[in-house]
Amino acid sequence: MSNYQLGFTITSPQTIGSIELMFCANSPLQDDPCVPPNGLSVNGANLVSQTGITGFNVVKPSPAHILVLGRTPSLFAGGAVSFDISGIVNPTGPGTYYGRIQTFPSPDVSGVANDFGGLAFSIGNAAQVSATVPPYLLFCTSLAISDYDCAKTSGNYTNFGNFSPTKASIGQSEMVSATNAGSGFTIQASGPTLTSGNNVIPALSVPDVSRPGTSQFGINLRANIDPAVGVDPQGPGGGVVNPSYNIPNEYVYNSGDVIVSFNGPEDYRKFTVSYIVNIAKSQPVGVYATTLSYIALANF
Amino acid sequence: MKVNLHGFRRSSYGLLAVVVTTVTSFSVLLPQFASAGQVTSRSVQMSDSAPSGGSITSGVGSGANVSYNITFTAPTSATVGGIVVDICDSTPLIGDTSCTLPTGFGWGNATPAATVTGITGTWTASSSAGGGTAGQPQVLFLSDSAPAIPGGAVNIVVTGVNNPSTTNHTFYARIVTFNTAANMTSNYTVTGTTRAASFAGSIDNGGVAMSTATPISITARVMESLSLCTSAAAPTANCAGVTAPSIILGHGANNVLDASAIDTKSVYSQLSTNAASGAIIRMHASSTCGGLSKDGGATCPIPAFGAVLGTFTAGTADFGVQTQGGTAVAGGSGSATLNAKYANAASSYAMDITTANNNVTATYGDSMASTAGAVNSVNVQYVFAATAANTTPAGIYTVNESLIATGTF
Repeated sequence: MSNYQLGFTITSPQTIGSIELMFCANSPLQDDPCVPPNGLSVNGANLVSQTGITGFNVVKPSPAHILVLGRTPSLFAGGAVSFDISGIVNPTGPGTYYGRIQTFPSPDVSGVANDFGGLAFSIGNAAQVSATVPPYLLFCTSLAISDYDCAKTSGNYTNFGNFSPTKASIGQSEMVSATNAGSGFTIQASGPTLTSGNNVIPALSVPDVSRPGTSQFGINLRANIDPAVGVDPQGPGGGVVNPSYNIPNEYVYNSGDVIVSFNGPEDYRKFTVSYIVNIAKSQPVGVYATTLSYIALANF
Repeated sequence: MKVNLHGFRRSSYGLLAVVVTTVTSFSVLLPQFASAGQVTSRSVQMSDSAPSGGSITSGVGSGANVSYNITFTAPTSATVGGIVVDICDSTPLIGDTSCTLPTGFGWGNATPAATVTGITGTWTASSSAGGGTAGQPQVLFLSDSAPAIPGGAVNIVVTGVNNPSTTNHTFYARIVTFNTAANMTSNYTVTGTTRAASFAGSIDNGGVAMSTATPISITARVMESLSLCTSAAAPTANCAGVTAPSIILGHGANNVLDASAIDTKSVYSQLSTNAASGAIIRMHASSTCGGLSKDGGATCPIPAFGAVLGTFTAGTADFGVQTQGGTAVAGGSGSATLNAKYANAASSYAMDITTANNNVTATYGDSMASTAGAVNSVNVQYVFAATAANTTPAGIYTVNESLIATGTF
């Protein structure tokens, strides 16, 4: 359906009761036979507005290629007139088409016309513009990442040194994420707690503060004071830290936990993972180690 | 125009001798003029040969208000004080007493508008109705009170003449010169369509044939015309060489749009029209948000840039267009003026979705280019540009831009 705006100028005063717009595929000339354009239909036409002259309505029924506007005949002094018409179905094929305009003193385009005129218009193919935006996920982890550039990372090994029953051992790493996944993304942490053979430093299954002298392993993604470790999330992205890992100075770790999530595309976002380890005096001697994997999953 | 070759050259003595020797055998049929010569190089040039009184009532083809250019050369070096031009339907023969009026003919006025050159003096035109009327007389008289010897060709231009009303009809002019205007007036007697057989004081004479002819009526109908084509390749004249106006914005092996670059591609339109008041090309976007959409236009994650030309930043999702060209291709003519809102030859783009009634989402779209009058094969280039952001959701984005030409005839 298209809107057509018909405009013309009536040059002399005359009684006008109706206006006919006949669409033809072959010629705008009144004397020529009219070939109706294939596909064109004014059966659904509605007069949206009229300017310069008033009182018209679409007269129906009429042949599909003939639009008739009628009113109670009255004198028109002459001048420019314009009609906005909606609901016209364009011809089916591209090309040049014509309109034949006639004004009548009668209300139903009967009798002799006052004036006539022809016009031409063109139906053509629209320009089709398309673009493919591919799925995109940026994710990297490292001890340190410059800005949000995953090409500028340094280190993936944290050495806590000698654990102490009187003081928490700390460490941190960074993650950068970005994605255009329309349905969002998650970052999952996976891996065991610190172990040395059969000896285990238990992970905090629920958020808890750092307790020197109590064996505990936990992480969070916040800036902390006790102990002083970590940085709050940075960047224009909207990724949200899991509430359990989002409490300053409280730490937790459960392998498989989703630690970050977002329900839509994510701009650059940097998360700093803070690690704390405390040991009891009774913690068996050994070299405790673990490998943690951070897995980003984007939902497109 | 026919030239009557009939003429008369008789000396008075020779004529008398002929009469004496042949009076017993046959009647003299030919008129007798004393010392008369035949005007030479005589012609009557008409500005219009159409018969009068037809359906064409003015101008060429009406047979009305015609100019007659009468030319002759007097062979006799004698002073001329009077000239007669008598229009007859019957014969051009001077001395033929019958001079019927060609139906519809008249010199146009009781005092025909005539100018005389080639002979000095002040020449005055007058007329005699003859077989016509006072207002449309048959006989033209030209007189000068100071007779002079023609210096060569004599030219008489008479305007406002009414041609005979019979088409494809031959009629004649009888030209007679007189030594004095008085002799002309006294001796070239006109009684309706009857003429004297001889005229005292006449010097030279001659006849000219003319013909009316049905004017050739030529009609040509020129229809209103308007042609607009769109193409991914620049069309040549008359929309030759067009290709499907479908473009993909992207780069790289997979031709994708991302945050690393601004991608551009062009589409062309070509306009030809005989609209005397010119035409406007408008662009109407299929998406209600005016940008690139992957949900049928409900939302545009790659949004329309805005109403003011500006440069894009790679990684900030935007969609826009700039126009170039507006000139005729080889073999075309005319030009189009590009709307300044989009006209740019550098790296700035716009896509207006806000200006009331003149934006790509308005009912009739936004104006892109216009012509002042008729043009032939004028191309406009539309350079579309887009870039994605890191957060632009993955997918295939599209928009259909309808280009609409409106001519004012």
